[in-house]
Amino acid sequence: MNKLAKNSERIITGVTAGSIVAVFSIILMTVFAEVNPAFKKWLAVNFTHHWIGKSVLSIAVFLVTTIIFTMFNKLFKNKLVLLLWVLIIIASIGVMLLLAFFYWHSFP
Amino acid sequence: MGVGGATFAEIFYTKFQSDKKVDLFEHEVLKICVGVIRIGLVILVFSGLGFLVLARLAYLGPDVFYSSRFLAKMTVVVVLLFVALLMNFRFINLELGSSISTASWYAAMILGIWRNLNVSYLVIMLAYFIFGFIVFLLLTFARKHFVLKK
Amino acid sequence: MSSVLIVFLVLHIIFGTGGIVLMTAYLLLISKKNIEIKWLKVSSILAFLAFLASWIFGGFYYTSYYGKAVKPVILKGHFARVHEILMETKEHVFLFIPFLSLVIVAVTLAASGDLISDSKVKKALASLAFVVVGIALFILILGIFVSGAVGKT
Repeated sequence: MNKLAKNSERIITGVTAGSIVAVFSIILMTVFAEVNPAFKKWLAVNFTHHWIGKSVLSIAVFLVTTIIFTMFNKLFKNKLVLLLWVLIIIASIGVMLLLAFFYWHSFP
Repeated sequence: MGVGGATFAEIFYTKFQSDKKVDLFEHEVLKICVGVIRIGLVILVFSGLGFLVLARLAYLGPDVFYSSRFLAKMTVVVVLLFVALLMNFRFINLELGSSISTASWYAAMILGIWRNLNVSYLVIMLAYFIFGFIVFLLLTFARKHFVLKK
Repeated sequence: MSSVLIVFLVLHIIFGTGGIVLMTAYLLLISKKNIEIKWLKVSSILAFLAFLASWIFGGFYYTSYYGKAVKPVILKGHFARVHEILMETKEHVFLFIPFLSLVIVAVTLAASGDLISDSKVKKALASLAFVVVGIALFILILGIFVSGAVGKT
């Protein structure tokens, strides 16, 4: 495989793995902010709004993990298809999880 | 556009299928009909959202958005989108899919025009289901009848 | 509501719906036997940019207006659950979409050779595009229900 193709593979597996972690972090931050008002307040104080905080932090998590996974790529070599499916599953479960969580959370 | 495209797609498909094969020209005509239907679907979604924005800005709220007619029309449009995708990927029998699609276009049009419709969501859905079934029977009869005549 | 906020709300809807249409186009294109890489790249990039724009315009409307002026109206009305469940879900699930669509852009741009030759990559990418369309449509429907809960006070 030529150098360009090798680098492309590192970048796209890095981006995919970074997205998996970002989606996971969104789920975690969302649930944690609801069960821990202090965290929600911390986000609001530091980012002017809790939702902006979650947006910014998820982007930061994505960027950091993508860079790390692109540089240290041995674990993800030839695993693009697997990573894509993991991302699909985590996103799909994440949607249902958040809907179920907010439904549960809406009851006093 | 969607209603017209779906109607002519059915007419042309029935005609072209009469000799049990669809040649290149007939395939191209059907592709054009599908293209028109897709454009109609995009216009339907965007124009529908436009009406909703106006309703939202006028604070019409639950009277409009949660009315049985509106909820039924939304359901019909979602069915339309879903069946269109299923048909594209051949996950549904094309003749069944096109019948549901045609019935849905007409149902969406009727629900859009019939402003003072005042029945429950379930009654509208039941009528839609029956209408879809009738359309399927009519189209199946038309296709078989046309083929036999030849 | 000021004209700026109305424009931002409308742009949020237009770009979000535009993203759905473009991602659906991507899904249809990638599922063809003969893939046209150029149009795949164009539709994936435009879909990602549309979702980004929807994020920005919607985010501005949400953080500067919704919390102060719309949420209290919904919570005071008969459909408080619409905010507590549907809007809360919508505002957080939406955050998935830019990352998912960025992955589609990255793979489409960088692995276009594989898209033609490797059916497993193609199938996984098509499935991811389908999930993006599904999630975005779900969010659009939630948005309609949230708007519906805002009645005259």
